Amino acid sequence: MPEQECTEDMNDFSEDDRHIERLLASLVPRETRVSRDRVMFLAGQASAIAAQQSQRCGKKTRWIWPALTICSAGAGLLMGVVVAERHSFSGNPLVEAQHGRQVAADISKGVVAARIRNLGSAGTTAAAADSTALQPAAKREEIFEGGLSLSYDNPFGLLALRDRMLAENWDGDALAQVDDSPMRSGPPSEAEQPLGARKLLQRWIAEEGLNPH
Amino acid sequence: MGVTPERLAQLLDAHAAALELFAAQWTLAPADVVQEAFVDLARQPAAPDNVLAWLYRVVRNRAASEARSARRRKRRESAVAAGAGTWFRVTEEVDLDPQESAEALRDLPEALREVLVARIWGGLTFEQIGEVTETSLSTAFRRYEEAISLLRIRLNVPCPNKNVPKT
Repeated sequence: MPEQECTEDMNDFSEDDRHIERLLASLVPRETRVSRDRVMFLAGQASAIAAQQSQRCGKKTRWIWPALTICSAGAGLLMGVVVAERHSFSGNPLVEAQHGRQVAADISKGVVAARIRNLGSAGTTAAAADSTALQPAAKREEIFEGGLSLSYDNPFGLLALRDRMLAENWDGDALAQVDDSPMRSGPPSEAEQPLGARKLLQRWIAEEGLNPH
Repeated sequence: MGVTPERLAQLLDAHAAALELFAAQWTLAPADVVQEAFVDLARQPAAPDNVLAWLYRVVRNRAASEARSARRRKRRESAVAAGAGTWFRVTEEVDLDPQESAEALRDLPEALREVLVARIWGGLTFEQIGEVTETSLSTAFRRYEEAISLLRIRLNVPCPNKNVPKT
């Protein structure tokens, strides 16, 4: 007879009921017909088969995580290459200007040589002129007068120009437009004319005191 | 880690007879059901937390499944009736008649009988019985109490203190 559990209900078990319990517990179940040897043999067999099956599953599943890691690393590398390629070919429009429109167009096509012809009396060196042939971006860096470069390989040149333009309150529209208001009595004077990219660069080079090549 | 062979042999020696009695409530072949339960236990990758309750639950499910798959109900009932007298050993020490007791147990409702057998001969606690029968501890105890009361009436067991004068 198992030990009594500590419950309130069990304490209310009557003496009669406990007597019945004792009498029933005195009955012994018949001898088991289960063959001990057969059970141990079958149990050992089942245990060995189960162990083999779990080993086979373990071998298959062992490669899942490394395979997933390699695939995700490969996907990350591929994405990185795609992003890098996009960046190198992406347009970086400066501003449009009367004379700078060609420059911007060239830049937007990914051309390294932001060639500005007739930049000034400093002139372009033959090497610079020759080297300003249109090239695909990221192939070479083009340096022209005053050490300024307008190329994708040196985005800082473009950024510096932009900063300068902002500092001088250079309105992009002014760069792009000529004031051809019908109210004007005549063509704007040279001082009134909006600066194009070429003229701005000329002025900048002069102010910085940069030596042309 | 699974059950070791030594532990399995120990469980077999200690509980096979009681498990067979438990399975005999439903099936004509309780020995087969108990054997399969032990083989299932050996197959487990990890030993169950409560091995005894696990065995009783597996035996119960298998035995009940065997009973449901019996083709002809009449044949099953007559066979069970024929086998009822062999649930318990016939010994001289017992105060109850084994045959009569087995018949009385067979007449109990199934829900009450399984609790009684698991408790008295299986040695399970009421919590374990609740797990096996998928009921609460209090339900298991209530059913046990009811089974005892019905058997007391059925077996007509006299009260042990009946003749003691009241003071």
